[in-house]
Parts: sequence; structure tokens; C-alpha cells
Amino acid sequence: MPNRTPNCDPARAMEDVRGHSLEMLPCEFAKLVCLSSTRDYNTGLYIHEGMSWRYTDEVIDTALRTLHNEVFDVLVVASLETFVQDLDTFFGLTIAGQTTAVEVWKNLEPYRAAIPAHSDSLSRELFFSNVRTALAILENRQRRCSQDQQSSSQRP
Amino acid sequence: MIGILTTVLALLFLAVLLAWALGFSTNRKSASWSGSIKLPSRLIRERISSREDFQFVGVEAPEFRSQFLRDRKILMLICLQQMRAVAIESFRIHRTAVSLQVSMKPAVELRLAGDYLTFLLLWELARSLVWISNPVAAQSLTARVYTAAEELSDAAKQLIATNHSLRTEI
Repeated sequence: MPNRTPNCDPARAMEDVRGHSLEMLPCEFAKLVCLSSTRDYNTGLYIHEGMSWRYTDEVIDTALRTLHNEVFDVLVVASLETFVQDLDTFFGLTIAGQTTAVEVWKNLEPYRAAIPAHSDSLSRELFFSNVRTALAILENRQRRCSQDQQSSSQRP
Repeated sequence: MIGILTTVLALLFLAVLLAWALGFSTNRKSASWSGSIKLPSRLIRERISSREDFQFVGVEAPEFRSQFLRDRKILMLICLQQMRAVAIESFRIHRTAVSLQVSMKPAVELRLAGDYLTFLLLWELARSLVWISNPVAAQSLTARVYTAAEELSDAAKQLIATNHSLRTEI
């Protein structure tokens, strides 16, 4: 059996994640959710089974944590229009469909678990406020869309 | 008209004095330079007071506009508090430097005191405007407050960098 020495370079690990996982995701929200899902709820450490044969646990944790922070920083300063568009794209990827996703996100607020643990309070609150606003906008668009469909079906 | 103007100016002066006094009392409580008090990011501040976002909400979800402005108002008030904390901490470093008799030119001291007073005055005005109106209306004023806080913070950092005795004291 070949003896593999784990790589200790976080930059290399980050490039790996960017190239193999993140690049395939069409929006920042998908990247944020993907990266936050690699974080252990109890320890706060980032774990990736697929990378563990190439990198040490510390390197994986550092790489995923840094990437998570990077994606969050991009999203939090994005214009609201871009933010809404991004969230819309993300909901488009879900099996549940946009209407259900908006409803669930409003009620359960899963986005609160998607942010990096050590983000500052101002960025965090701005992000939450932007998500709430984006959900209201998407809901409004859905309402308008269904009203348009109703009125067009009632026309003779 | 002159009477109202005099009253407004007197109130502003009192507010500045009060804020300064409060600043000093807060300084006494803070034991040491933690280095953790950082200015919020400029991009975050700009995003909070963005007119573009406000107009976008107005077009897309007009009924949500007041909630949006309420959120942004709270965020800007937090942002302003963070700027004030940085300015107070920077001025505390300046006072520590003076008490340690770190050689400072009188012109520099005077400029720093002037900058601090200007900051407090601008800060009070910005906070009042955000409170009465909204962060979008106070956009240019909050930008000036940010620049003033940044200047104070830079001056403090420079003081720390050039004085070893000050570094050990704080």
C-alpha cells in the first residue's frame, strides 16, 4: 500500500476546494451553504472526508474556514439586487421549489447557521437583514406572478 | 431667528461637552488596549447607507420599505457606536502618550484634540440625523464621521508604532 504523506499547505487545499467543488456551484449562496455544511455543529471545526487522505485535519479546517469567510464577505457587501438574484438562483437549485423554500427560510431561518462563526456582529446583522429583505422581495415577485397568471386566465 | 440659531448652537455645544465627558468616563473604565476595537469595514458602512438598495426595495417590495429602513437605521446606529468606540480608544492612547511624556509637538497635540472635537460634533449630528431620518439621508455625514474616526485611529496606531514605552503601558 502506498504511503501517503498529508499535504500541509492550506493554500493548496483552498485551490483544490475552489477547483473541484466551488467552481461548479452557480451562486455565492450555494457556496456559502456548501461550506457551512462541512462545519461540525458541536465543535465548529470544518471536516471534509474526501480531502482527509490528502491533507491534515488542521489544513482542511483552515482552508474551509478561510473560504467560508471569503464567500460570506463577498455576499455581505453585495448590492441588494445582486443578493436577491443570487438567492433566487440558489432557490432554483432546490428540489422543493422557490415558493416552499421562501416559506421555510422565513419560518426556520436556516441562513443563521450558514454564516462563519467569527464574523463580526455588524456584518452578521447586515446579512440577516438582507436575507429578510430578499425573501420579502421574492415573495412579492411570486405574488405578482400568480396574480398575473390569474388575471390572464380570467380573460376571455 | 437669531434666538433659535443661538439655542441650537448652545445645545450642540452642550452635547459635545457631554459626549466628551462621557468619553472620558468610559476611558477610565477601559483597562487596556485590546487591539480588538476595529473600525467597521468601509464597504459595510457604504452598503448600510446605500441609496441604490433603498430604491431597489422601493420598486420591488414597497410595503417592506419601512421595515427595511428600520433595519438599516439600527445597523447604522451600531456602526456609529463602533466608530465612536474607536475614536475614544484612539484619544485614550493619545492621553496616555501625553501622561508618559512621550515627546509630542504642541501642534500635533492641538490637531489631535481638534480632530477629536470635530469627530464628536460630527458623530452627534450623524447620530441625530440617522435617528430622526434614515441612514440614506445621512449618507455623506456618516462618511465624514468614518473618515474622522479613521484619521484618529491612524494617528493612534502611528503613536504606538513609534513609542516602545507607550506600547508597554497600554
